[in-house]
Amino acid sequence: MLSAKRWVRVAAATAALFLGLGVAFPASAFAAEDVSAGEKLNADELKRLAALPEGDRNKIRDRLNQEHGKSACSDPWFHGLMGGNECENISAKAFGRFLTTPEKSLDYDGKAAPFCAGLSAVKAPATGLGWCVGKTVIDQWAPIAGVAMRAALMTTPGGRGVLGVVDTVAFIANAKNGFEDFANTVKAEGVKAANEVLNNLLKVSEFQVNKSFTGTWAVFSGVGIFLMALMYLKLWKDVAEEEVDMESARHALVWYGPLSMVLVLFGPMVGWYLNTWIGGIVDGITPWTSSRVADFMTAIARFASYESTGVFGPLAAVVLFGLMWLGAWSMLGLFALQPFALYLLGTGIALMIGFMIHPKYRPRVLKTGTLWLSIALTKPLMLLIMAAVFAFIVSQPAFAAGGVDDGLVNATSVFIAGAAMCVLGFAPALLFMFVPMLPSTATGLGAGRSSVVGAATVAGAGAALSSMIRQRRTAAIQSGTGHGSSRTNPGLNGRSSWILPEDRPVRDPGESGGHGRRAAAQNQAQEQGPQTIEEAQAAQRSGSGGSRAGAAVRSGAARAGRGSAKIAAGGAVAFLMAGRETARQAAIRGQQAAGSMAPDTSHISGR
Amino acid sequence: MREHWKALTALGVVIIVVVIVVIIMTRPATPAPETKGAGKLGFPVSDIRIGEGGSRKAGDGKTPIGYDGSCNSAIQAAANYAPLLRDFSFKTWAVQKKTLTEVSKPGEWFKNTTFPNDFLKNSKELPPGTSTVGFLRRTDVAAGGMYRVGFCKEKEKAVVQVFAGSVGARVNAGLSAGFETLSLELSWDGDWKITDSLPGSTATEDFGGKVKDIGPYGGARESDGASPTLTASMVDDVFKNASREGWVEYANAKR
Repeated sequence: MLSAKRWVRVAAATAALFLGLGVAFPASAFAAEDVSAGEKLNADELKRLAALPEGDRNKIRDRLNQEHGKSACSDPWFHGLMGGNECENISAKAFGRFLTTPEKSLDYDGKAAPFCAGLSAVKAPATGLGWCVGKTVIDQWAPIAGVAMRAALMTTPGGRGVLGVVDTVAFIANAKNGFEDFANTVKAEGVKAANEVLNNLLKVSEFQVNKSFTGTWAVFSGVGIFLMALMYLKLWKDVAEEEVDMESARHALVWYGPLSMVLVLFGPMVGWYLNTWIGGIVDGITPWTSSRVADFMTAIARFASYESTGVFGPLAAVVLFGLMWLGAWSMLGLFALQPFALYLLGTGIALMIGFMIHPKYRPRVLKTGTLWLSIALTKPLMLLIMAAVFAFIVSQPAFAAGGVDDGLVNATSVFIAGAAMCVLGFAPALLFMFVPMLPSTATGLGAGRSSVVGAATVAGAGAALSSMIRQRRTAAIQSGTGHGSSRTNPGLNGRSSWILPEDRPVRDPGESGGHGRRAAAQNQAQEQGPQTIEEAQAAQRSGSGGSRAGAAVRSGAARAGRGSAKIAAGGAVAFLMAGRETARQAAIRGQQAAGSMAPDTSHISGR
Repeated sequence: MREHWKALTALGVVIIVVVIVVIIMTRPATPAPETKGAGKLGFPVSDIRIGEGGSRKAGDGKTPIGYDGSCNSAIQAAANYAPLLRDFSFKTWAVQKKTLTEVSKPGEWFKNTTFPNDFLKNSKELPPGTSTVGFLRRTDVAAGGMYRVGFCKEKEKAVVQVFAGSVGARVNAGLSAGFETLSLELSWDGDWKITDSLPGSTATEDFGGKVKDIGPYGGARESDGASPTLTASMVDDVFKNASREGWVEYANAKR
């Protein structure tokens, strides 16, 4: 009796504390909404800008400063007092005195004081200087944004790279028949799709715990609370039939009952914190990844200039560029579906939260929660793998300065790029085999009811993936990168070698500025470079070069496909499945508590 | 069994508390009381109107002069004098300069203010791409429609800032509209006379310590010849480097 009283007191105090906090800080869950930079460059473009070589950056800066000069000199008085036509050049130089990086130039807010100081430094006419100081503001000056900024950026090669524009050359000049024409189309589409997708990869995939999500959560948790009431009935029935002992019943009543209510209130907040935390990881990784992607963009520009030579004819072009097209879109689908899956799973959790009170069904909730966390964590993991793969591709001889004038080598490089993107696009299926304890019917991965360890497993996901890749030798690419990293770190086993890239980018942001980041990235590339080139050469020596390697990739992919046939078939659809599965489970449990109706997963997990 | 009944009761209490809290939390939050002023954009609105005050017209036939020396009249005078300082057209500059002389006291500032216009007026050719427009700048005080008093002593001295809209011709480009702040130092000499102004003064951005800051400016955009009506987002834009404190709307500001 005393112990019951104490329990009640503790539970009540805890509940009061949390509810009190919830009332005091209900807004914190909405804090994630931030303001966009408007018509300026998006985060992706800024990252690419930061990753450009110094020379290209300077060209972009000078071009933007020229625009500023044009803007300032559009003032007739200033134009006249500065001596007419020379105005723009002198002003651009004056802007260059203090807008020393392209970022500063993009962010310039029209303050006159530094500009006037710059004018005096570049020895502008005294009349113009007087106007600048006397006017104090450049009132007709407009910030460089929107169309004007893009037009200015387009005039420099680096700027085109930042904006992700690529001009494709016809694969077969003067196509003679429909098929050659088709080859041209496939090439243009493949290159364009790969380019666009890579450009936008980092920005499509954002899951946010925002008002829309909390609204949906509220509705679903309302149903969830109703289901909880039914669960109580079921619990009492089970207690009466002595299927559940009093100990568990007490736990359910005074601990899990209030806890699930607290979770209903704080679920979005917990989700927000987790999501923000993972967002931090992603932010730590993306600079490194995007500089790899930026390197790959130059590779794509190379693709764009490919023309039919030797064996690299129209049929090969259709197949290879088609593969690239497929790979690009599968990657986009993957990243687009990730937030969607998180959203659905999140609402699924709200729906089944009442299940927590029944000892028999409690693990299901934990399992779904773990799945959510796992999917959330796949993004940083994917970015790491992606960067590694692209680093490998760029190190290929076909992309060395000047390129190679060999149809076969070029065809191989297209194939590797396409296949790599396909592997990335379908990799989550491979990841899912080892990372979460999936409640997916398709995979039979539901085993191991104590899903709490799933979260810990996720942390080792990279390691798991690595060992899996080692086992399967899925593709020449993957074994290449795998070797590369492990050999640069002798003494480490396979598991930690795959985690290696993760260590780097997380450290990267700590280093000051873009230089540090770039330097670190180059380091990485250098460490990997020799190895991968060596391997490629080995592959070439071993026979018919690229086609041989291609065959290896193909058969490897086929094996991987067989190994995880059901998921791999769906690829990114696995995300969808997971989300739908959760909702379905919840719905079914709601109607019929009996275990016999549970989907396949529970057969497996119940075994 | 007794202890479990107690536990159940306790649970019931907890659930009721939770439900009540949920209800309280999900009630539509009452909006915080608006501490903004009477104007649409959140600034207080005064009774003072642009274009009024004064007992007669200056030589150009439209600028009111002959103020009563009160601080309100200084605010009126600032709004009415602003176009004299900031308008420019090749055709009317001569008359405008004469009127400006009428309402001001000469000094270094006057030379600085009028020199650029004189320069343009005397240059052999028009700035490229501006010949099709009849003016180079037109000031629309009502479009900005706000003032801030930096200092005022009746029939002695006043420093008033006026926030105005303007439309200007651009070199090799279409018209552009923007907003700017004019700072005017008025001294009493039988009437309010301009004794310094910014833009024009070679003083620092705070007008030699006479004003708190340079005031709002910016918002440049393409224009068809009319000043845009000020919106909340434009206000945010022009005030990003300036304090909103002290700014008051004229009664007939364009909103």
